[in-house]
Amino acid sequence: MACIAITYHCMTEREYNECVNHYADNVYRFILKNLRHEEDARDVVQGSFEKMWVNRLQIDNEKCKSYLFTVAYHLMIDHIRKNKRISYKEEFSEIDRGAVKQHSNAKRILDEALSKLSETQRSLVMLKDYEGYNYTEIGQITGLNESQVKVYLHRARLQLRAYIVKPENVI
Amino acid sequence: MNINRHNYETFFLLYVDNELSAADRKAVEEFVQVNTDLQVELQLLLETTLPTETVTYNDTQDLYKKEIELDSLQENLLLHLDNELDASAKKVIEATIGSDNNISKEWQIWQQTKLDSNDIVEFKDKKSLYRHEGSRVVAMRFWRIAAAAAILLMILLTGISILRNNKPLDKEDSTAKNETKAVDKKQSVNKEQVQIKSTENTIGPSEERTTENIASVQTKEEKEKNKNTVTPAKQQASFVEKNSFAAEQKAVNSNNVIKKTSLENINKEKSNETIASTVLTNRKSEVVSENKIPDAVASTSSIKEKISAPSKPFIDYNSVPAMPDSYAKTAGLNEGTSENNNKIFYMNEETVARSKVGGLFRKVKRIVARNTNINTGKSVKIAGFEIALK
Repeated sequence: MACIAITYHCMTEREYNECVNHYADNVYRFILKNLRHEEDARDVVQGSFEKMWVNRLQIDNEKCKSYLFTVAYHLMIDHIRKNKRISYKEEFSEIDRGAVKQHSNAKRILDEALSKLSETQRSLVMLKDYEGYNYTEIGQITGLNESQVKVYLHRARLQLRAYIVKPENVI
Repeated sequence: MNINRHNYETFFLLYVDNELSAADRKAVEEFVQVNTDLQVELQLLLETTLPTETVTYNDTQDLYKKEIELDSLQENLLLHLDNELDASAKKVIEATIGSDNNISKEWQIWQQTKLDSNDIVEFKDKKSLYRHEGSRVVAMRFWRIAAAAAILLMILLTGISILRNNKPLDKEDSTAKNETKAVDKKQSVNKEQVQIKSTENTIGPSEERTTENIASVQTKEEKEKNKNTVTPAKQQASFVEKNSFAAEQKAVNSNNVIKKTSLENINKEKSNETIASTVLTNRKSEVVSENKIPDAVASTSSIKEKISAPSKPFIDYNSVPAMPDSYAKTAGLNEGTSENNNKIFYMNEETVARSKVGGLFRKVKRIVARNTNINTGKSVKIAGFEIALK
C-alpha cells in the first residue's frame, strides 16, 4: 500500500505510533469519563485506533488528533445507544471505588455534576476543557454546527453551575 | 324521522356514541320507557363504552425547556471561560472582573465549572495499540526445505563430477599432444628420407623425364582446377584443403590437436598415395610414351586402378612429402572409390565441436529428463528426488 494523497502528508507507521503515545491517554480519559466503565472505554479506544490504522493513508497526519476524537466520539455514541440500560450512578460509584481517584472534594462534586449532563453536553464540556478545541473544531468532531455547540455548551455550564452552587455541594 | 321497533338499533348506537341531538335523545329515552323489553338492550350498549381514565406523566419537568437567559455579562464570562473571545474583548472582560467584586465572585464560580486538563487518566495498555508494517514472511514448510537441500546437493555433486572429469581429460590432452608431436617428428624425418630418395631417383636421363612428367601432371591438374566446373568431389576436395590449411595454422590449439593430426595423417597418406601413383605413372610412361595426359585426375585414377595392389612399393608412402594441393587430388582420386573417407572427416568435426562441459551438461540433462515429472500420485519426482505434493 502506498500513499496517493497529494494535498497532505499521509500517516506513516512511526507517526501512527507517536499518535498512540501522545493521544491514547486523552482519548481514554474522554471516553472513560463519558462511559464510566473502564472495559468499555478501553474497547472504544482500541476501536478508534484500529480504525485510524486501517485508514492511515487517508488521514492527514496533522489532523490525526481530531480524527481520533471524532472516531472515538461516534463509537462512544454507538456504544451508549447499544447499552441504554447502563446506570450511570452505579458506574460512577465504581469509579469512586478506585477506577479514577478523586483528590479533592471540588473535583468530586464537579464529576457528579458532569454525570448529570447528557452525553452530548458532557462530551462538549470535555472537548472544550480537556482538549481545548474551539467551537468549530468541536462541531467538526461531534457533527454539530458552531452555534449548536455554543448553545449546548452554555447550557451545560449553567447546569454545572446550578449543581455546584447547591447548598449541600458548597465547599 | 321517528323511532320505531324497526329502526331503534340505529338510534340506540347513535345514542351511545352521543351523536344524537337533544330532541332525538329525548325521543330515544321515551321510546325505551314505552318499550321496556328494549331497555336491557340499550343498557348493554351503554356498557360497551370505555370508562375515562386519568393517567398522569410524572416527569413533566424533564420536558420543560428554558430559553437561556444570559445577559451580555454572563455570556461574555462564559465565552471568556471557553477562551473564545478576541484579544480586545478579553481585555475588556478582564478589566470588568477586576473592577467589580460581585463579578469577580461570579467569575470564580464559573471557573469552578471548568474541568482541569491536568487530570490525566493513563491508558496503561498502549502496547496493544502499536502497529507495525512488518515485511511479509513466508513460512518454509518441510518439503520446500527438502527441495532446496536436494537442489543444493545436486549442484554440489555436479561440481564434484566436473572437477573429476577435468583431470583425466587434461591428461588425455597432454598425451594426445605428445603423440602428435611424435608423429610430426616422424613425418619430418620421413620427408627428409623421401627427399634423399627422390634425389637418388633423379640419377639417369630417364629419371629426369619422370620429374618432368610429374611437373607436367601437376601443371595440368592446376589447369584442370581452373577450367573444370565445380563438382561434388571437387567441393569436398576444396573443403578438405581448407580444413588442412586451417589445421596447420591452428596447431597451437590443444583441443584441435587430435583432429589436426588425424587430418594431416589421413591427407598425407592420400597425398603420398597420389605422389606414389604419379611417380609410378612416370615409370610406366617411360615404357608407354611421352604423350601428355589429357586429364590428370582421370589418368591418376586409371593408374591407381592399375597399381591397386603393389606387392612391394618401391617408395614409402609415408615418406612422400605433402604437396600443397594434395587434398584436392586425394578427393579427386577417391571420388570413384567405394571407400569414401569423407565420413571420417565429418565424424571428427562432430567430436571436435563437442566440448567437455557441453558433454557433461548433456549427461545431466539426460539424467534429469529421464527422472523428471514422474507423477506418483502424491508426489513428483525430479532428478531422482521425490517431492511430496499437498
